[in-house]
Amino acid sequence: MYETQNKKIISHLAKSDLKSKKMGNLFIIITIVLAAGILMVMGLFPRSLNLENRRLLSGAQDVIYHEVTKEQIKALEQDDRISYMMLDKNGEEMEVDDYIIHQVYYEENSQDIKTLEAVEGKLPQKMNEVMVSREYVKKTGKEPELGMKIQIPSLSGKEEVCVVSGFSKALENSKIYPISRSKAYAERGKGMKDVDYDVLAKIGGSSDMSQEEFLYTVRDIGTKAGVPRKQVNENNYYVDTLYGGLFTQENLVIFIIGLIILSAAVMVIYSIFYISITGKTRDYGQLRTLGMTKKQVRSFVKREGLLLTLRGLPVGLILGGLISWAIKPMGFSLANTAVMALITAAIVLLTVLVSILKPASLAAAVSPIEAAKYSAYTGDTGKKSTKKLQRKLTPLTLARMNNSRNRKKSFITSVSLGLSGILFIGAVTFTTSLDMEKYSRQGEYVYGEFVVGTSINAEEVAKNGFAEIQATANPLTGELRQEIGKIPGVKKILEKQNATIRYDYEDVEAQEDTVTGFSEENMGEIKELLQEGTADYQQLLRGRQILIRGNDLAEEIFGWRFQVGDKVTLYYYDGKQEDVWKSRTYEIAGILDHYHDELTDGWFLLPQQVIEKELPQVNLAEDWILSTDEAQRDQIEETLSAVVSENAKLSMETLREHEEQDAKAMNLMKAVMMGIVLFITMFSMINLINTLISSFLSQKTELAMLQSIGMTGSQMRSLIMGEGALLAIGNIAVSLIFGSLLGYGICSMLYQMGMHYMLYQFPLLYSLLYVAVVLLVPCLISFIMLRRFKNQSLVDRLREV
Amino acid sequence: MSILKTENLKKYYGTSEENLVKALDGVNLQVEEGEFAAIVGTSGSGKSTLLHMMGGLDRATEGKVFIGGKDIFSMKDEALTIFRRRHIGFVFQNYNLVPILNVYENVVLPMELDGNHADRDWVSHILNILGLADKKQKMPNQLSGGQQQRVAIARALATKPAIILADEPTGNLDSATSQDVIGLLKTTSSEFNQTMVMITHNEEIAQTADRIIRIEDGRIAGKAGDGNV
Ligand SMILES: Nc1ncnc2c1ncn2[C@@H]1O[C@H](COP(=O)(O)OP(=O)(O)O)[C@@H](O)[C@H]1O
Ligand SMILES: [Mg+2]
Repeated sequence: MYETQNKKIISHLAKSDLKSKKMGNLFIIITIVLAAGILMVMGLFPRSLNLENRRLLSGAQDVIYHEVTKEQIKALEQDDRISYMMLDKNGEEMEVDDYIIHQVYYEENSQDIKTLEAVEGKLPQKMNEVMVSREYVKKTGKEPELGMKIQIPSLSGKEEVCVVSGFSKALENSKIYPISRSKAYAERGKGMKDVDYDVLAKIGGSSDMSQEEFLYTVRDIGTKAGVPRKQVNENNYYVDTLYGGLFTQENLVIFIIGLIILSAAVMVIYSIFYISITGKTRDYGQLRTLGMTKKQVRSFVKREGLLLTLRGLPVGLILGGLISWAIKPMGFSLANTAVMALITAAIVLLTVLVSILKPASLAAAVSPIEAAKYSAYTGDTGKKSTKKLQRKLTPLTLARMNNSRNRKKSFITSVSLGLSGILFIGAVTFTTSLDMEKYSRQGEYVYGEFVVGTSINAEEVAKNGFAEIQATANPLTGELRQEIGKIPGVKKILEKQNATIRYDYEDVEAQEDTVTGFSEENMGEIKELLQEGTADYQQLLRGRQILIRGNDLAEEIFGWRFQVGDKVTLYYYDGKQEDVWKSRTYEIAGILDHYHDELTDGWFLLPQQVIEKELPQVNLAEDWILSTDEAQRDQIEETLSAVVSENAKLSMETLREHEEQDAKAMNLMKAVMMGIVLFITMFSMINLINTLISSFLSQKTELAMLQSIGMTGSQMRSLIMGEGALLAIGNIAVSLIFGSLLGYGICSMLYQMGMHYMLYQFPLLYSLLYVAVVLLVPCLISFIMLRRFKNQSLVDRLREV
Repeated sequence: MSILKTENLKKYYGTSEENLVKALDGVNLQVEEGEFAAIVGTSGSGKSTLLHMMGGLDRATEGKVFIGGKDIFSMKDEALTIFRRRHIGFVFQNYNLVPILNVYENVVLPMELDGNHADRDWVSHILNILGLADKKQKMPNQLSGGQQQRVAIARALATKPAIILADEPTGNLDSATSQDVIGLLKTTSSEFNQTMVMITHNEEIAQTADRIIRIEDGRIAGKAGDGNV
């Protein structure tokens, strides 16, 4: 009975005490809300992202078995690990004006795998029926109407008259317009009867598999049905959503970011409680004089803290949930949110309890008599006497003494401020150091701003692929080169040369690839990059040995590596005899990881002389990269696209287009990063404001006393401003120095990892902004506090003890 | 010539009719140079308010205060503060020492704030008289109440002010220590020919004053010219 009554009194006291200390409590509540909110958002984000991807992919295939035979289709149908499958065919693709038409056949459109849906009319049934989008019909200059007749162009040059059985939606943001054909056409139609079917499949229970299990399953299904590995194309986006193990790079990054945010949150919660409780030691002492035991004081303090936490926590959790939902509505899941809310609540409560523990027992340990003397301001100065008789006494030195009065409090505040400052400067360093121009200029664009190459039409019509074009009808002729070279502002044209070949190795048969030539001058570089085997130019010139580049990528794609000493067969097409490829077998002499990656993605390297001997009179040009005068680029783009559109076999791409796409992707990433950092900064700002205000309030009488013995208003202003400025300056120094180090470290690490667009740059603008805010906030607070002081007469303030 | 003079001094608190408190309601008073005046009166009668007005810690609702013939309320805040720290020494009931400063620093602080360096010999002299010679480098929380109050007195004397205003300087001290402190205050002020106005509840102490001023409900009740009622 006594116990419960006592508890009631304590809880009652706690509640009424809360009412009387609104300001400090508001800060605690805001801190809890922010901490819970950011923990929720950060905790949910990776899961939401995953879930969103999975939901977006729910209508996509898990795997495609490419170009399968009738027997293989039967075998696949027998495999009960496949939960759903359908057939499709990819017919010819052709560029028309500024867009591309693509002939396709899909067996159906289902919930399991969404293909093209008939939003109006029906899917094509008869031989001459097609389904297209309304946008496509409009592109051809006609009014779309069900049952209408349209002419479909084809690469052979003949047009085909078809009946529109239905309309599908146009693909978003795409220049490609699919023309959907009937089953009848897929089987017997001229354009499709020689094309093999692809099988789109879903694997039963795949969402619970790990990445490894999934890949094993889809490959094993392929093997059992006789489909070679290279024709098995798993959906990589889908694989990414599967469990990839605990220690992936991604998890590590998430873990580190999470840890930083968690420690920032813990730090701020700790310091805010520490400040609040030590600031009230006097009140607790009073309770002790009224007869509360130490234990009661301790539980009183704890209860007070928990009450505040319980007020802020639900708001923070709901806010966090809402923000997560707003960021990724498709990835929202009530179950995930609930679990995360529980985890967050546990973390916050635990942190609060730990944060209260120490100051609460400090408060309880103060004897009633001491407590009456104690103010947070007095604290325990720790000193009994000074070494010097008199130190320098000015408002500024007083400010400095004041700040060092409670070392622990200043330390905690400084650390949490400094930490967020470091994160802020580090993050902005990253964003300013990311050289967008360089980023977009990866690959071919290192050398120029325009790339002229052959169009896909040219490739589609050539029976022997790009090799045939190079051998017989390469549109990148010397005359054209001269013509383009004459366009004003074109400074240089770099010809990217690679010979298109086919090769056999391991389970790969007659796979199309490229060989890149090199000369004796490149040998130094090659020797340096060599990882395995040897590279002797004279030997290589004999045409019996070959060099390999990019073995890691080979392993990723095929599951095997090229081995030194193995034989590899290359097939060359020189166009002298139609459809005849001549074969040459080489021994793999050496392997390098990278070699001129921006200009080739083939596996093979041979001396230029060897290639030219095999392919005499073949035009090996693949692309032209134009470096141009910046001021004339718009004009060049116009002229160049006129030249390119004259020849259906030509196509071009521009740096400008790339930059636009990259900017979109990067801005999103930067925004997310800045969002996190701003959140943390907000945290520490609250901490700073709280520290300043609580220190002002506890100094109120003391300042009044200083005034009474003759401190003028302006001297008081410099004392108060000085205190804030000192905190700020220390913080600025720490943030700039360590933040820059962090930023520099990240940049050079990423640069080492091959991201050559990361060039360290000091974030001057953001730093100035940061300095301004960090200096302004204390000034603003001081200003407000001084105003409040002025509103109360000196005598009144003196009276308040 | 009177060094300190009040003219129809009024201080009202509160704004509305009902909660209007007339803490001072027309006080006319003169204190001569070198005089030691004691202010007595019941709690809430307006003693502290009077002292605050006389020292320029707060502004009056009506009336004037002259110090050395100068109307102090005609000065702006900043000027008044500077005037105060040069000419008036305060001693409060609760010492009001700066906890981060040692004894010596507390004593010289008003002078330092004035941009002057303290006269070391002078400060040492005061500290000697007050028996604080060996405590100069101690922090306030290492001192007893009586010692702390003596530091506050030393601080009030250090600027050689013309007037010392003390508000129950012995209120927190036991009677033996009180006698000590008052004795010291009297010796030093007479040594330096300072005028002293002191609020006290202690009849004994009041009796040692040159004059006793009684305050009742914000007004002066009766005067005694030479300390005898
Ligand atoms: N800031 C204030 N606001 C309202 N009333 C006040 C204030 N200061 C003093 N008073 C009132 O003025 C009267 C005189 O107070 P005070 O001068 O402190 O008395 P004493 O020092 O004689 O005990 C009291 O009734 C007190 O309540
Ligand atoms: Mg009083």
